[in-house]
Amino acid sequence: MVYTLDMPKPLRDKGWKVKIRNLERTEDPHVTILWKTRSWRYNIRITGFMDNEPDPRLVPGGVVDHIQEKLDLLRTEWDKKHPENPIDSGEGGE
Amino acid sequence: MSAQTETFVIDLPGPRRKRSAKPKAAAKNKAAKRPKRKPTGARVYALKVEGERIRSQKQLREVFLSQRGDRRATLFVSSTATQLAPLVDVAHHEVGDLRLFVWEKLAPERREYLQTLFRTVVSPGGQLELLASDELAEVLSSDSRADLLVAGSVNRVEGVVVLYRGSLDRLAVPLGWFGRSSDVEPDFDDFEVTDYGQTVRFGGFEAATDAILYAFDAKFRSRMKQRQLELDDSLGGSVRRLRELRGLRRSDFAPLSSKAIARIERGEIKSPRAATLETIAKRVGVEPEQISTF
Repeated sequence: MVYTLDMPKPLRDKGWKVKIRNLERTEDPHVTILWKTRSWRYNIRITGFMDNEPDPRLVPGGVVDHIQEKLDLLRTEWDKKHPENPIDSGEGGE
Repeated sequence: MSAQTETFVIDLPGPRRKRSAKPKAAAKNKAAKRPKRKPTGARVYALKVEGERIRSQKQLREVFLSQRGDRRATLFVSSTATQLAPLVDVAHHEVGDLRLFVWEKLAPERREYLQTLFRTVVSPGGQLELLASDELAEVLSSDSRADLLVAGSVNRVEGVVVLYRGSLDRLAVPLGWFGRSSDVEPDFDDFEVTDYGQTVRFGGFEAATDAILYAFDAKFRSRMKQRQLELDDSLGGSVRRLRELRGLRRSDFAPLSSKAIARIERGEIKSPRAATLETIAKRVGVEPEQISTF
């Protein structure tokens, strides 16, 4: 199943979503922050945005704080969905 | 960002009503009291799409014909197919790469006719699953609509899902491609495009649109790779950028081999020896410690 992080109500009401989908581009473990037609990939292995487009500054601090708060849970969910690319296999890797 | 297509939103006035027999002043007074009619139904969504408005039959014919021989794709958005009736007069002309999105179901004969005018015609109905209307209007207005999806249909006989991008370009993806490394099997009988065209859902299984495009669209893949290279802040990335900046080939770094330079650029050699860095720095005209600043 797709994993959708339960968001605080104010962020949810504004349309912010955080997902780990079953099929993602095979790169570092990440969650996808979705808002309308835009999305940002956030690395959950080393924590940080993976792309500079769209501008990460458009993402409310509350979304990033919530991801950081739930990091352990997100890492567990990632490993369940993507056992071929686990969180702890790529330290220092490409 | 993908190449943007021009968009025209067709919003012709409805049929004229018979004039009232009442004196002009009375009719005018009544009209002033009447609240302005708001668009309803599909027109609400069509008017949310950003693009140049076509407000008369004459303008519609002129715009349509002006696209003749134009290789760029042009997108037309219409709430109804009846608005396209004025095109009958110009149907015999050769036109360019025109795509049409209509917000209402089309009868087969009407679709057949419209397909003689437009390269692609997308409308609700049949096997096609469309994005929710409010999301659809946003996607059709987006600068990155070619990287988002608006619709799709699962074809179990051929074993493919045909996806429509916001530019109305089509993409066929084998169903078998989705079923890899996951904790759930995709349910192809429960399909939708969601998250403003950023996700394809098959039951409890979701695939990212960019993952699909990355696998099946070479141009998209090359764009993403380029973006990735620009973001690369490793030593290898700096060496590559410096080399490109100076217009050098990898073979221009003798006595270092082009293979060694490629390995450094790819990050396979993360900490080159001081002598190697000096050779590279000398060739690109900077101090060794300056390399990583590029």
